[in-house]
Amino acid sequence: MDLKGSIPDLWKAIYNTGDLHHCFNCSTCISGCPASFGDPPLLVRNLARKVILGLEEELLNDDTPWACVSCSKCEEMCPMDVKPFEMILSIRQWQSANDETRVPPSIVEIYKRGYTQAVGVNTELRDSLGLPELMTITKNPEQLQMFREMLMKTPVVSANDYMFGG
Amino acid sequence: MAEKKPTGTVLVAGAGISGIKAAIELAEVGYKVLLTDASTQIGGILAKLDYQFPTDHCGMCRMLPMVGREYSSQYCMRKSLFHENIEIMPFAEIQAVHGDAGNYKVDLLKRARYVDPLLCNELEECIAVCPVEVADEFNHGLTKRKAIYQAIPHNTPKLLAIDKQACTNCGECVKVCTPGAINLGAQDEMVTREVQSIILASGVKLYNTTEFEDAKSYAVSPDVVSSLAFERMMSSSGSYRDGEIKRPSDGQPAKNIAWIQCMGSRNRRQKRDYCSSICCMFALKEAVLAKEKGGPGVESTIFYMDMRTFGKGFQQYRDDAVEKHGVNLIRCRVQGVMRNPDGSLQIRYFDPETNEFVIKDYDLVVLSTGQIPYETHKKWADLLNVKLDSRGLLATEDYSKIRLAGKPGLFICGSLMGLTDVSEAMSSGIAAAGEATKFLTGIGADTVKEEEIAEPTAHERELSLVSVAICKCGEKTGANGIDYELLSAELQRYRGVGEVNVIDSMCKENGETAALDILSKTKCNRLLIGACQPFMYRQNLKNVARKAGFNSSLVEVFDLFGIARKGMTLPSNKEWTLRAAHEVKADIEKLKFKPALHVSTLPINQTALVVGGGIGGMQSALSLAARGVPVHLVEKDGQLGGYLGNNVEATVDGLAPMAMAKDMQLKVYQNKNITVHLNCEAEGTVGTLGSFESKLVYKDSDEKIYLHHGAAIMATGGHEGATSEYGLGSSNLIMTQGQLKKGLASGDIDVGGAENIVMIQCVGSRQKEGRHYCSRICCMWAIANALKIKEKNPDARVFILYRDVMTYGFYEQYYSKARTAGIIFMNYSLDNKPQMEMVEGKPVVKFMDSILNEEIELPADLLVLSTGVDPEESNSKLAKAFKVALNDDGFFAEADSKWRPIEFQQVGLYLAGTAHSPMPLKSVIMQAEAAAQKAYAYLSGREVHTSSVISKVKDALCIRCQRCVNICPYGARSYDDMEKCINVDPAACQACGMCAVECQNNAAEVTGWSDKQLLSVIDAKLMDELLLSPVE
Amino acid sequence: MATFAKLSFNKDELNKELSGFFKGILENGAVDAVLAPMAQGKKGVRLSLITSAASSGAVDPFAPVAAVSGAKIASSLTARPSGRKVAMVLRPCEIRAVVELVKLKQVNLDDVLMIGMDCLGRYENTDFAKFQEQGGTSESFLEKAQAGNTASGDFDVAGACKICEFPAAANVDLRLCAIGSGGGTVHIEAVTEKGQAALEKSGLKIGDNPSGRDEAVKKLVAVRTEAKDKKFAEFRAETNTFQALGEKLSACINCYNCRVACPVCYCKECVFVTDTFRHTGDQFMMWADKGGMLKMPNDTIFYHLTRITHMSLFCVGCGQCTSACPNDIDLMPLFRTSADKTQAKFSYQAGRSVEEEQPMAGFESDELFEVTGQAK
Repeated sequence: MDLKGSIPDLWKAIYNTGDLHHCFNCSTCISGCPASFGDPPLLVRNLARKVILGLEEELLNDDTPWACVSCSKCEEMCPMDVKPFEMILSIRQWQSANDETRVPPSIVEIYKRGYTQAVGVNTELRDSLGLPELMTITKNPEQLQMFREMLMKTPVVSANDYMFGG
Repeated sequence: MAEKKPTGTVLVAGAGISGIKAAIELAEVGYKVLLTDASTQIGGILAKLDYQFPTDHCGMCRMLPMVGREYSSQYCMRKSLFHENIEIMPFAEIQAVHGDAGNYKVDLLKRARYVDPLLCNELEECIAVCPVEVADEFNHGLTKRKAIYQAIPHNTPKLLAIDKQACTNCGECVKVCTPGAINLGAQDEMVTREVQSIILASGVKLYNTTEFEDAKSYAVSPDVVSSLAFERMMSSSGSYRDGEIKRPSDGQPAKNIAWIQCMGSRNRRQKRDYCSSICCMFALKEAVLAKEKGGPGVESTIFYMDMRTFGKGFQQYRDDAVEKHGVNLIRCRVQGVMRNPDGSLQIRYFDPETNEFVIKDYDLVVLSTGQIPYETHKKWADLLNVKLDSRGLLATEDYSKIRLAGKPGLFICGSLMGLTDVSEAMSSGIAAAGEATKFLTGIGADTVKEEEIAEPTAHERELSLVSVAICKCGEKTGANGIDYELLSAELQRYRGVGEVNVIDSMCKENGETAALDILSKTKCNRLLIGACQPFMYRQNLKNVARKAGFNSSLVEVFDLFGIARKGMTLPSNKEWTLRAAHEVKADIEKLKFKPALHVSTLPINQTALVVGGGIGGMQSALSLAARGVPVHLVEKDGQLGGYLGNNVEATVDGLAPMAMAKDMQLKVYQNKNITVHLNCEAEGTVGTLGSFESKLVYKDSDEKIYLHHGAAIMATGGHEGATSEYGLGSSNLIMTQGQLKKGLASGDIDVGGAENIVMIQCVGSRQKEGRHYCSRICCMWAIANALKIKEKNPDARVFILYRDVMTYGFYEQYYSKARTAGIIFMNYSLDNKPQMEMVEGKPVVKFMDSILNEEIELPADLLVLSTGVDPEESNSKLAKAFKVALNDDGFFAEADSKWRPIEFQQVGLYLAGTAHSPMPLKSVIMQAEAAAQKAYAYLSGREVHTSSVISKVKDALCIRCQRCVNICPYGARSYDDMEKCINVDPAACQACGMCAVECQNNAAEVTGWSDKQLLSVIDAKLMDELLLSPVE
Repeated sequence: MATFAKLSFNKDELNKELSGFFKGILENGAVDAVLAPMAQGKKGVRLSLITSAASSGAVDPFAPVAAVSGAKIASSLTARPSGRKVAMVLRPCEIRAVVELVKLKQVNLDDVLMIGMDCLGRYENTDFAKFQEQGGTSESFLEKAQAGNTASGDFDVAGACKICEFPAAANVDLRLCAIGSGGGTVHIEAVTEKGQAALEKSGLKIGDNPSGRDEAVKKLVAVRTEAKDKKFAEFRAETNTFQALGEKLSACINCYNCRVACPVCYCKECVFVTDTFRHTGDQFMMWADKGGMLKMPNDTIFYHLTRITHMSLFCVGCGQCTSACPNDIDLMPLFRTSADKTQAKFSYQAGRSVEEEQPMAGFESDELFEVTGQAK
């Protein structure tokens, strides 16, 4: 990797707070993050490093911020109070603001499956604890259809409907 | 007539190890000490630890004085502390402090313990009948205790107390307590004491697992414990049994154990942006011990952020933990612990080695919980009316960790300075005692004048005749069923016994008079006293005996109580009185064959030699000179100041070493007590404590002088290390941190146009080939330089490539400051070191970013190397001259890495500062103070009393095989080639007995421990059945 | 590569030839003195210190007797050195004791030319007298013993010799080789440069290796090792209880001859003759009280156990203790069996090498941690 094209002040454009610089890469944010189970995983720690290094290109093309499920555990546990969840939202905002045609693939997934993350994990554990199976929208085609229709009414989906398989 | 000076008295608040050390040091110089503690007993955290790094043994006794040991009855520090100049007041809290330095009035609240230790017979019948059971806080709730309890299992005396919150006032204990020691209606008591000086050694609070805010994510089960609780789990007086570490929840063996570091520390969110300093070593030690004690198959895993192994020997310990013991270290802070349905604990972490997430189950999780300093500091500030600094801590003077700013006579030590390890706690305790001594000397306070009782002469060739004096101890022992008449008769008929007297309460005035009355008329020449608590009363009883005409080496005190307790299992009073008599016979035998011992005195030369004219050396010299000690300060270079004083303008924490050194130099040259020798080296020394003769050689003129001195301090310092790595010296764009520091200060190095500046930490350090230690200051230096660069050129990007950022303690704030200033820290590992290549005259650094897992190539405008601290080359010569040891790294080897950090094994020789190991300036100054105090403590006497118990050579039996010389760990024995005989240095000999074991010829013997004596004791013990038949 | 000089002799002329060799090294200045077994009067062979070449006529190195251990004599001569060079002709067991005494600084080898001889065993002193009466000579003994027969009438070589695995001497400069040399021949082998120089000065012709020697030594060692193992097993079975051991030692009268004879028991004055063991009358009474009676002299087993703890690490198995006992207590197996175990614990072998450090005689730096807490 070459840092020649990197922008030292990029963080100001993305997440202009002193908090970010407190990050010392301890990995707390990622160790229990539900979105880190994804493929590719959301690695909050890495995003922070990319922002600090000013890797504009890489960040623009990084879809993982959109995999965040807003559980805000990272926010709660970050020892340095970097407020990683806010950083993720800021990255999304910045990505959208800097690329009008950007459609995060997660939106496509939401459209197709009804959710971005693997909600059905831990089925065995749930079962062993006597908890009922989680009802997901995928298992209810009628509601999924309604959900898609609703989404189609939003500008980002309707304007890019070619990406949503019609 | 001269005005009678007041006796110097110091309040030491807090009886953890630093407070105890300060108290012992002051008491040894002859000041009175009031040692208080808020808890029911003394010992602090260390009372809970059975095992300490690096020996993984207990070693508290090593903090005791090494010279004149037999004057004290102190052997095991974990039991308690006994010193005639120290008054211990546990369970007492300071309520108010009035007055000013030199004249404090302290109000103390002595909490009621409801059990009078002076009356208690320690038979614990009260505990047996107490119906209330609560969790035992000493064992962190791993075991239960009663409402009436002994707070520390190994304490002597037992010091029972009643937990009034748990107590139901049922009165069962009162009923069974025959001596009437329990008073359920006891009240707290307010006492006021006058002291001249105060040392705060209260330590700070540590978290327990439920107390910090993140606890809910981690402490999800009883099987998640704090590191201190884990210590208790491994202790045989805690929950460790049958060679297994057990899960608290179900008693199942814990095989897979995880440690999670930095719980509550290094946490900005919780406003604790500091490192607790000791937890990394604590965890490493526990992880190693778990593998050793927990039986086969135990896996230890530590989750950490930076493994802060910054102290002397720490890196080695870490390497051994990983390589020899197989402890897993994983650099990942985890978000929490999950409890599985089967009770095991699940941790998910990101493994930086494989770059993958791992989910793993553990049986036990240990949280390395840190310290909470602010509450304690605030409390002291309110009580003493002192200001807190901007960080909420008690403010000390600029260069001192000990002296409270603007408050002469008030000092702090131990964890109040920031969490300290044992070694630093010891240094700080000595240094605080030193500061207090200086203060007391300044205000003209006097030391305690010992009552002179002439030692009666013993006639060696007289037939031994033993007088046995049994203290009835009020109703205490009588109530336990000893039949004194039978006991007397039994002992009376034993061979060698001249008389048996039963005297009541020898510890009290009446008893003392009675004893003196009886004993001064005796024909016996040896005295055996049976009393309770010999630890406590031994010294007193020996004084009584001396007054009555007994040579004190021919007086023994035995524990009548201990015998009484043992006898409890026997069915009748008669039987166990006989048993007691039998036990005493062994003591009689021991005394009967004991030779009279004589303490010899060696005159002390009052002069001190300080080797090394850096800041540490100058500090030691000034400190000694201030107390009237003539000092010779020897510096090998042409000027004073050392490396820091001549090279470093400012440090990251705002100190100015060069200005300081200049100031000190002036003081040194102005001081009439200090003679400075420049361009001079010490080349050889003969003699021992109190009387050394050293050869000093001037390098420029080859002139030699011979200096007589009583003590010496090695303060040789160190300097920035050299390296051949990364092309240092091949380009002016590549430099060391020291060169950069100088260049930035002088303006010779311009960073104005620089885009990228790369710093590499640990160059040639913390690895087996090279400096196998952390130099402790380089991270701070790099940060200081990086901040300076940012100040001069905010657009420059500074990358610091590190292995572990060693900003321990409150230095963490500078690490935070550096990050917020935009300095980028990137981690590298030893097996993937950064590479450098010159491209078009510019250094290009290639390294792996462990976070993005990508290789980064960076052309650097400056490449700065942290090359660590090297010891002075002259150390090896000095070590030879003074016959002291160096460690593998070339630093001096102190007597004991934890408990005696500034003494050498050879008495009379001390070390301070970087001669010991690399350390920050304030620590250098603290150690220099401590070394000065140690030297002063000896020099303040006119003569040194050698131990009377030392090993001797029976020349007629000696065959000169010299095996004893080879085996003596203290270097106290030598072979005199001229006289053809073995010599023993009486000041160096510690009577360990190795020589006596080694010598088959009986030519080496520890006085007072002859074979004859021991064989007789064994005989007496073996005569068991026979002598149990009573007199009819 | 060792060099050999062949020494052929006519019947009854072995000692004449050997004395020629010693004369040679004395006259040519290789040494100033020779310590060698020598016939004294009509009966008896004793180590003698020869400083004049003219007085070396009666040497008898191969005489099957060792009245006292030569190691003790070596100590007397060199502990406080004379400054003169001396050749010592000693048996292998004596040399192994010398090696131990060097480490204990009781022998100084600086000026010593060590000459070891092949040892096929020695008779007890009284037996040797009988042997001589029967007309036995060194030559006749060598011949018979090489054939495997050491017995002579109703006596045989000492028990220690029968189980000794060291018939050939090590740690020597020169070696007098009889085993496998063939009839009418002995060889003198130069083992070190010092030995080589002395051999050259002696004027003997160099060359001619004794071809059968190695094999013969090996065979002898095998026989003795087997005997040793058998003896050990027997003795251990016989002394497997404290009581059985007591019975073995019951004849002891505390004369301490065994310790006087022992070459490695090097104390000036044994602890058992010091004040430590001068008990008082009431102590004796007390011990008698305990069991109703007390065997006198007392402390006999204690004495031997103490000697085992003191000496078993250095015991070379010479058997002088057994030879010295006036009450025929066979102490040798007691010491050899215990030495066998204690020395094995430290992978140590008494007498093997001067360089090998005696166990428990030094302070290892990593023990500092344990004992003193000293930092490395």
